[in-house]
Amino acid sequence: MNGIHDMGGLQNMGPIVVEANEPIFHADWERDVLGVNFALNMSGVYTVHELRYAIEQLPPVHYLESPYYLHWLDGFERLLQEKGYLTAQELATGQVGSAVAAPSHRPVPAPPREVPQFKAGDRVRARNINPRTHTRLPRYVRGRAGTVAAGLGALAFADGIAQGKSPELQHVYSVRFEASELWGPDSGSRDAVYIDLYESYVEAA
Amino acid sequence: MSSDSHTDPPSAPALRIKAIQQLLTEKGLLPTGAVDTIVDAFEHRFGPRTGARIVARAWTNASYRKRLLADAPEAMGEFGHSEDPHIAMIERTPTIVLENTLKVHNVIVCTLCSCYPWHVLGLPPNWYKAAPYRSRVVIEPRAVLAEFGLHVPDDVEVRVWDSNNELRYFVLPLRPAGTEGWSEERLASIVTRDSMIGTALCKAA
Repeated sequence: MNGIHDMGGLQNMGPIVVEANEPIFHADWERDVLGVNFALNMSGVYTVHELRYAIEQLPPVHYLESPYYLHWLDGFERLLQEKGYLTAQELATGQVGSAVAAPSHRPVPAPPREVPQFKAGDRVRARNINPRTHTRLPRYVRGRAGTVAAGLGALAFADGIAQGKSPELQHVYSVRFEASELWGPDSGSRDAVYIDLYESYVEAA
Repeated sequence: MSSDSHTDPPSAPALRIKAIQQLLTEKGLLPTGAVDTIVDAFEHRFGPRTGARIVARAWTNASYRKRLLADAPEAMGEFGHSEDPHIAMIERTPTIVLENTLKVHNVIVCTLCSCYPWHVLGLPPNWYKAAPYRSRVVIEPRAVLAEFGLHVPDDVEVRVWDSNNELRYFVLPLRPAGTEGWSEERLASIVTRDSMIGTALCKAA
């Protein structure tokens, strides 16, 4: 989804504000949000990919203005209702309405369909795709050409899992994009961005 | 609450997470103690001191350095794992170590969300998760590093690693001059969190 979360390359976001002696949490509720999120993740109530997609669907102004852990809380509050673990009525009253089955164990990902199509040194181009759903292909690399730095093995395809599909392994590559390819001739000539791309994100260049 | 209480009323997020926690517990979706175990690990176990020990060992032990660069999770595991299986799983996060050299400076980011090597650095600082850093470090890394007081010479290549998939990246900073003969422990004391993100260098003083 072309949302505000996909912010690589945006400008005018202001200076980087470093908080001296920053505490691990800024409020007790942040601690609880972190703990609940991990516990639900570990017990298979939802996946991190589903949570990210839920967060990506928050209103963009709210996303930019709210504290980080509120994104998690907003995200899993929405997700728990979408997946039928909690109802709006229960959240409003604090009273359990109906029992719900504990999550079943996650399926083992299907193996990748083919051998890796690319190897280190190959030139590839990030596909120009604009899915309305979750994707880990940021806009700033789409349509740009890069070089495969390394094959990283096969990893579960996040985009599908975020939509509730059964997990499927895909070959993943670390791809190097020259700064000049991404940002034009005024960028640092010797600098580069490395990013990990699923095979379905790239084509031969 | 009595009328003379000076306790602030709980914030809206605090009330929301408490309600969710209670409902999920009653529904049997949140095992007793799970939240506390996780929070305790993030508050007391995961943190940049772990990363600093890894760096110090890599600086003093050539064979460890080689193992760390070849198979980071295995080499990082030499410092031990939690007895809790879920915490140990986080400690085994697939990780790649990026070696800074006199010619290459590495820096990590997650432009799409907040991916970070928790198991060796703990939870990220707010600036790492906020819009200015995420948006800018890929398009103007040298300007961003300069804001941190790090001026990368023109003949050094800057590599920005956008951790957008399951792999987590970790920077192995350069050992500063003037630390010859130092013990591993003393070396670990000068390895900062930011040096392992790539926004700072280690200094002998």
